[in-house]
Amino acid sequence: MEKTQVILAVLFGTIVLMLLVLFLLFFLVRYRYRSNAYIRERENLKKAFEQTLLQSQVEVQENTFAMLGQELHDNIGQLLASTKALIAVTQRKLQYSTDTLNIAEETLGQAINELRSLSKSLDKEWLQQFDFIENLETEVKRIGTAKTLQINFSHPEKLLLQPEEQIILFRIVQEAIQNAIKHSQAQHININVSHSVSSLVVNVIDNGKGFEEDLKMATGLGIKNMKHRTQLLGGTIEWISSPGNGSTVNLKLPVKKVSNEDSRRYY
Amino acid sequence: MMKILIGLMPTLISLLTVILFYKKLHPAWLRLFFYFLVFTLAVDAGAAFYSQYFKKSNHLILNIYLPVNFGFYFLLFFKAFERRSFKRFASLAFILFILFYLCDIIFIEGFYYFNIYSFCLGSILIVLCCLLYFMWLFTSDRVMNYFKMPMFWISTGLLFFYTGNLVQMSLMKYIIDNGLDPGSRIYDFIMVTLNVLLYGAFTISFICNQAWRKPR
Repeated sequence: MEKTQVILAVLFGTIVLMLLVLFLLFFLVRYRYRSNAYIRERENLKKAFEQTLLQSQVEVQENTFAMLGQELHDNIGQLLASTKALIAVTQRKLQYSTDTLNIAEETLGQAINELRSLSKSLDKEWLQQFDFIENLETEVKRIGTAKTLQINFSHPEKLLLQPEEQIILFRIVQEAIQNAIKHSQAQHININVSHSVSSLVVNVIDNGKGFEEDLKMATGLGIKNMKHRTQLLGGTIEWISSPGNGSTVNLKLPVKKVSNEDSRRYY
Repeated sequence: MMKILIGLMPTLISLLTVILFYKKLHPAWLRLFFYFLVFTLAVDAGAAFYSQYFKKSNHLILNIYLPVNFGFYFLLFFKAFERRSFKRFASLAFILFILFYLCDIIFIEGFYYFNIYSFCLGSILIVLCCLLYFMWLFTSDRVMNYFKMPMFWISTGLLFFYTGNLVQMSLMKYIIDNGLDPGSRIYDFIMVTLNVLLYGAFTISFICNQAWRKPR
């Protein structure tokens, strides 16, 4: 009797403990299943919030740009135009117009044209009328008129992007070009835009002085803006450079697979 | 002979799996399982054959294996824990176990009788480590798929094995002294079942990790 009782106690105790372990595991797995769903939902909300925040930042920036463009056109543009008119009046009054005055008038004319195209490129409404390629071609032409550097722009026939996405992409590339001109002192810039089934790739390559890939570079306002904008488009951006060897900006944006109805919205 | 081979089969399958996936094991410290399983297989086979053919107690061999066995599991938890306090617990558990084991060998049960007290203490400490690991899983703020986590399977196997063994081992002395399990049939049944669960869980832990698999 005692023998059977002890053996039964061993078996019963073992089974009870193992059932407890089983229950614990079941509870743990079930809890994690729910917890995972909750964490995913929270992350999605956070991501959506960040996207909205970035979107508002970009919108504010675009409005500031638009206002700046308007101010340039209406105030400084008008001042320059009236100065040019005054020079013309002076030239007419003088018997012999001097070379310096002629050059000043010509330079002023160039400045007015530059200002007009600059204020155009800052105007959001103007940008929305054209696609990314047209906008960038205009920008390249504008920079090319200075004849101090050569810009090559290769691109596919058309990119199917929403107007807002086009503006964001345009601003990123615009910043990359500005960086190449201002900081890198490049004489040659290559802009390549290509797309595959899964991604859109933009490379901005210059032959300037290059830079050390350190943190200082990464914390600059321009770089931060480029990163923010790329994040907003759900893509990735990287800089490859070393002193004396120019620099390359590689931008990669994902191609979103959408239904036929929405396909025109994406590249 | 057949009985011994059946008893060794789960360990052997586990060892073959670890050999097969050795280079792909992630995290890399899982590769320690290879050495551990080779040693375990050698000890289990040696102890079983020694007992069967020389008709002598193999407790000495099992007593030597005891600190290696528990030491390895404490090391696993030390590696797996992310919180410093849990790591400290695994280290302290190992020190406590070794100290008690030495006392057990020298003052209580000796070398030639299986150190049941040490085994029970080791089992309780391992169960606590498993519970700490599960607590970490429970409170973690990350998206996790337990079924793809090697340490989840290892902890599951250890928890089943050591909780399942606890009742039997704590009454082992009484059962042997009173001859309550002639032919060790109940002992063998429980041990084989628990071994299948333990080494089965180890085997799954070597193949569950998706990181090295080719995407479909």
